[in-house]
Amino acid sequence: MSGLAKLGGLLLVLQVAWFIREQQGSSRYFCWAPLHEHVWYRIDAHQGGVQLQDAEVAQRYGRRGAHYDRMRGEFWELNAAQHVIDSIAWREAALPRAQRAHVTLRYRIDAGDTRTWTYTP
Amino acid sequence: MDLHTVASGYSPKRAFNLTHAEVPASAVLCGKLIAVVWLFTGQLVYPRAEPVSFAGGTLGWVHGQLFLQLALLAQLLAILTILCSAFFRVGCALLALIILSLSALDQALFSNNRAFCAAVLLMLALDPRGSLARAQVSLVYACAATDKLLTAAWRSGQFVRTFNAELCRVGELWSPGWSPGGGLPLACALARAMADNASLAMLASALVIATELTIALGYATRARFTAALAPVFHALLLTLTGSTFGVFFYAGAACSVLVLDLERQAAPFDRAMPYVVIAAALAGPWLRPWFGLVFSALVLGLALHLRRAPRARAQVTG
Repeated sequence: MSGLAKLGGLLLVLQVAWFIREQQGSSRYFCWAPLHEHVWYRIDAHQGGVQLQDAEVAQRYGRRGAHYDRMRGEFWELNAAQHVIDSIAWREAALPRAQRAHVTLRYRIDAGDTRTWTYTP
Repeated sequence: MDLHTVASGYSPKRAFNLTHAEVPASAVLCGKLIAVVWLFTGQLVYPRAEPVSFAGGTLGWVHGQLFLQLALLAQLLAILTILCSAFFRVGCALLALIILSLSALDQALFSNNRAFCAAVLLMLALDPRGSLARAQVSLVYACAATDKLLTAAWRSGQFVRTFNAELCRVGELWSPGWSPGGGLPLACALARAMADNASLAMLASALVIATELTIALGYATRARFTAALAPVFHALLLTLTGSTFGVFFYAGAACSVLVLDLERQAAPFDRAMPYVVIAAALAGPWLRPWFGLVFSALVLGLALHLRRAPRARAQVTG
């Protein structure tokens, strides 16, 4: 077996280990878990006391592949809810403190009960 | 290796040629199909203006137009190298690393289907025999099934029941031929049936998990039935949801050739042309959810035909 093939084998083993690690938490990054859950969510964000409009929210946190339902005013996507939370938290943390928003995320996993998560600058 | 040697390694004649000094034809075809659909379905475009990396910060240079143009150019070069050069494995490695790097630089860009393409391409680059690529695909389906088995909403059927109900309400999900709000009769029929009969959702969950496990086992043992089962599974998902799930439908079907001895298939299915034509026919804006049923019938028909056809050829010529 060549060195490159050994490296490939090692990468496969590491993926199994990463899969086991991701099972301990609520995110599902790089661990081959498509359709793990589906989530409806609404993001309310206030910056400097002013509420951001839906278009501004979409621009700020827009996630590839999320479907926006105008009637519900909610997004729907087929990813773990934790990925949405990470998107918001990491996006805000990357901004200068003065530009950060206070964010409230209301979400339902697999059409279950509504949960709330907040980000405070 | 000098520039002249590199340049002479590129030729448009190689586009449909599966002959390679060290890589089997099925592995070359798999890589070429993934490269083709990556190009045709517009995956090259880097869509976010202000990405946030997995490390939690933004990188100023990632915002810039120059970076976007360089990322596009690098992907085009990698695809050209896979399709039209003697440096197939280098092209696979390059495209895989670009996809993985872009995902790492933008958390919102992460998706299983993009990572899947990168992982398979990387394994094609690392192992010329294609064994690691088959192991990679097997691992992906095995993990997908295991994750579902470990998830309560999948075991109880709640995911499938609520997912179908939402699908029926929302309509088609994204595909190259996406018609927003387009009806999904199969999803609506299933949603109605599952609302009346709770055990049907549990049965559907079990069927999905069992199919994924069977496909995983098929790739691990290089069972020929996988070449039909995997594309049909993805095609039925296309009909149900209207979605190709990014490039998952295409990549899932492309990988199915990895279990075949392409050299032993009856003509013209020992060459690239029929597979590339089918991929191109399914990758355009004309794609509709019902294409999944036609594609399934085509795959099953071909599987039956090729089982009966004589396998005399030993040379793949292009």
